[in-house]
Amino acid sequence: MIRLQEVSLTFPGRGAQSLREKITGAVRRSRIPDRRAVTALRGIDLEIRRGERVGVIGLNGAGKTTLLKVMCGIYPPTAGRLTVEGDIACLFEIATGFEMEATGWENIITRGLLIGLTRREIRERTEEIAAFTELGDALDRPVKTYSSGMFIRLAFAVSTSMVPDVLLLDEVVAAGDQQFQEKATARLTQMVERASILVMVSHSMDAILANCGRVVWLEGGRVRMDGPAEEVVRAYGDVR
Amino acid sequence: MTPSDATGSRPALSVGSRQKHLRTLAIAWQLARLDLVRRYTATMLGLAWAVLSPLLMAIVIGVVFARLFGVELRSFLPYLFLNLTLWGFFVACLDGGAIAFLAAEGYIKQIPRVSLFTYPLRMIFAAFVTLLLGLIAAALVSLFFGGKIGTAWLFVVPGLALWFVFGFSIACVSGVLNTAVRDFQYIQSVAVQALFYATPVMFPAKLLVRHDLSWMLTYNPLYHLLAIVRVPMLVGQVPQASHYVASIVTVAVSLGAAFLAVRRARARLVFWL
Repeated sequence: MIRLQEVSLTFPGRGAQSLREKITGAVRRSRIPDRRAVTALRGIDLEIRRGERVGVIGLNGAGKTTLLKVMCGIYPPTAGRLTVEGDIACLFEIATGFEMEATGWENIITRGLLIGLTRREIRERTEEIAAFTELGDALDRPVKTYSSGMFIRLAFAVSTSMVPDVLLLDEVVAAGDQQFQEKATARLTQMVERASILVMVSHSMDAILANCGRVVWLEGGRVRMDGPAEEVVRAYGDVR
Repeated sequence: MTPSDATGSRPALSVGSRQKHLRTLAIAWQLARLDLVRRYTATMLGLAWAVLSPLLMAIVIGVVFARLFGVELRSFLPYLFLNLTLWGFFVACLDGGAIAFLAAEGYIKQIPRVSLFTYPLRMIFAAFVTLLLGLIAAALVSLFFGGKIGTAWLFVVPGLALWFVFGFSIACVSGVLNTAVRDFQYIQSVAVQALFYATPVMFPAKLLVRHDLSWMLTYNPLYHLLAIVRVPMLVGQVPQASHYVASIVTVAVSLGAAFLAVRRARARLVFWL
């Protein structure tokens, strides 16, 4: 179960500061508002129950990816309350977090540990993961030699080697070549069947309609519409 | 099922369990192992550099300073070598800590539920392995110059345990500060330089006492931390209780600061990257 109550997220524009900013900030903090702050989510109320397949749609900058990152705990909400039950896996459009000098094999182990597998579990799955990536001998090379498509294959293969209770997908299937996309779609369909909750972000209404029963339409960080997939997708299409 | 509840904090970190700590250790060790392999396979002499660089330093400085201070080279060289090795670890913790979170940005922004302590720990593991190699070399240097193996050497072990926790703590603090305020690195490096010259690393501690500066020893935590490893190893005696008291207080304070810093950063760190 995922529950968001009045969840808002404001990126502090100040972020990391230089010392100068820190000092001037301390002097004037009360008077000057943080102009670079960006509010990405505003008062989101959502409850997603076991068995639900939820699509998230909206224009670029509507807060879709941010919503996923809040759900999986990467961004702590600046206001409101978030409750998530079960283990979670998330996959983002662009895969980051690799040890560039290390080989593909070493990165499989590292990523496996990071997503919560034990060394033994990784060892049992390595062959299967390697086969799925279809990277072959490239796995012996440092990953700094990889293309972005190869990174996605690697990240995808490791992340989907376990079946989580909650699966959060950010436009992943769009990456990679045609052949990999088909394979990835097949793997995801399998996972989606087994995971108890799916939340996916996509610009492809076909993908949304094929996988989701419920759709949340985000606009400017707010929920514009939330309901049965066909209805929301139709309304979204009409507006555009 | 692990329910987690987050109100402005990372849900991952509220799930405290033995399994979670083991996982943190496993990830940190894996990353540290890769760091070590990378560092030492990229060079021709590999691991030998961990020992060679302080050794060469010690020889060069030793020959000159032994004359200047009028001390015997055979006792001064092991002293210098051991001090430089420990100091190297101290600096490696601060520098490694400074980039710990920045280097892990790719992980922090994509993989949920990983303890923030993982990343400073990674730096410490790598630095500690280098330290251990240096200490073995220091022991050999000491034996070469006529040092003797004695039961006092057992006291090196608790000394190193304290150094490990100390290194971990300062790496966490350095990590949070350097991620939050980017120009902290300049302040830090100046402070480390100053501390280096104020601490008897390259010169005998007696020199300060002779010039009525013994307070600089009493209130310098690094002096006591150096002593709890040096005294058993080179002098072959059990370190004085005062060295232990000062060291334990230092380690406790820095560990407290580390937990405070990481706790405060938990809800914000991802936005600083």
